[in-house]
Amino acid sequence: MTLLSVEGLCIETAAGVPLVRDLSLEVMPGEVVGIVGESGSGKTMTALSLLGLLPDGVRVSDGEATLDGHTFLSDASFRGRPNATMIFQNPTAALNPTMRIGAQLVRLLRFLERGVETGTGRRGRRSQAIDLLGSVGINDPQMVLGRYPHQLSGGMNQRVMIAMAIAARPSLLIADEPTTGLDVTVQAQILELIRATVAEHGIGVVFVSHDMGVIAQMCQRVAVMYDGEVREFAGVDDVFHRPRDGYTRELLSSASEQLLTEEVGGGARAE
Amino acid sequence: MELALNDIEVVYGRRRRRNHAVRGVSISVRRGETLAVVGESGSGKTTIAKVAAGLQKATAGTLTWHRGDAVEANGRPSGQRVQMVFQHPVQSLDPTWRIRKSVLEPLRHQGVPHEEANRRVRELIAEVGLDPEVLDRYPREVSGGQAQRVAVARALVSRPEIVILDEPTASLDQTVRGRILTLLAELQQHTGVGYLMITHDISSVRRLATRIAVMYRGVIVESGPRAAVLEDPRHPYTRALIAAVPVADPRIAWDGVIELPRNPDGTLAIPSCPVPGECREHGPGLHEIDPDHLAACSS
Repeated sequence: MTLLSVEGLCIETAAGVPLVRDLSLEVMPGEVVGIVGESGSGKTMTALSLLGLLPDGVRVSDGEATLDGHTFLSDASFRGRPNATMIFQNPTAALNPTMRIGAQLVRLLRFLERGVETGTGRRGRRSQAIDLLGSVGINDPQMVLGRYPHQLSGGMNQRVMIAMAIAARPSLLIADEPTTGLDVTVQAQILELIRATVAEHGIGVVFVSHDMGVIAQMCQRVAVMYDGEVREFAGVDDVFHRPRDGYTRELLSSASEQLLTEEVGGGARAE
Repeated sequence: MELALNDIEVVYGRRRRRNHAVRGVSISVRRGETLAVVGESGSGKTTIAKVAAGLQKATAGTLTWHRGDAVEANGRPSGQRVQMVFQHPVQSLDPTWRIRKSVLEPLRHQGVPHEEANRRVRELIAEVGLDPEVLDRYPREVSGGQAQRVAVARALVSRPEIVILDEPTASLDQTVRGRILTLLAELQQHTGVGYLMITHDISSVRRLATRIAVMYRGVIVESGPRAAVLEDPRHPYTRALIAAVPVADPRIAWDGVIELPRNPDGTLAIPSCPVPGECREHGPGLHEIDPDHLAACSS
């Protein structure tokens, strides 16, 4: 059964300028589906629309989306929102700069328990928060709980974001360029963490990225976007080895690592 | 012509806030070649670029020019010899100047006659693949890729020996990135300019570099010809850095996380020195493993 299906999604600005046109996409449970494209292609708007997070003035003008058999998108109310969470490109900016990590996590856990009498006190939630941070590979959760986001590295903040995203036990995770701006060795750790976490919980993922390497290694299926449209939606192997669209081919050739200069032989250099 | 940085040390801050950004770094760039300085944030690579460009004074160490056997000490390289291309192309151009004025500026400084300067600017703008009408626009009216072409033209118009490229493609889209790298390679072949490229992007290093220096926490941990460093990395950090880049092919399994061996204080522990004897004699540092291929045994 399909976890998420999006049909004919159109997004436009208040002035009626189309940002995304007739986008269709589906994600199976536990599957990672990539959206790849360059700046301005509409990939982030697509991701934001799924959580009702579109910026002011930008709206979904047409289309339907179903998550877990529950139709949303057309339902603008809070209750109509699906059980999906999101991680962002700049984790340090996504966290509240005025609250310690521990306070943010405790507040989130209290929010998630709303309406249910669990009897968990502040102390209980704090130990839940420690467990959560431990589960995203943070070695010293006690220390991290007492810190503000600006005191932690980008990689550490992204781990905290991932912990918060899985705390809600979502069936869908939307990851918008989650490792852009991180150092490459940190990126490798975060990608590995996302891969392991979604596999463990069986979470479906929409993974937005501009990096063909990240897409190749993270996703099972890929939607290639250009200028507000999906140019190609296929299995990752097909997209990389049998691309049908001209733009996909251009993206792939620009990601190639072909040498541009002539080989310098045997240390003998022309002066 | 070769620009050399010798045993450069840069310390920011004073007293208890003293911070060694760079320690004992020696690199050199010749005309016609590209030296890529690769590292992650905090490695000191941008400090090296600033020292080479004369924008940052080194706390210790010298900057010299070599032509054959002649050595010329020069604390501050003149703009005629060294130019720079910055990471954010639009921000690196004066927003209140038309692009023509920005590209003419280096020539005006050198006192090149107006007519010749204009001719050179027109030629170079064509060479970097731009329409001459771009010259009459303001930086905000061009795309990031076009602005970076303008910045490259501005750097080359005074015919420098060396151009410093500070993350030249980091803020550009993937397809534009490929085109700018191709342009840089072509211009190098035409003009023989040498590039000192500062980057964290291994894939652009693969495409453009002649030699590579890998930096980690202010020191060079490995350096050598491009193929030697990329295909036969000796230092554990170099290995981790190369392995961390996701392979753009779903058929190749990728496991990017390599745990670096660490000492209790968090510094890198290098379990086996490639040349133990030399270390006991001269203390830890860079060792020559193969001709021109150096790796550190401790950092």
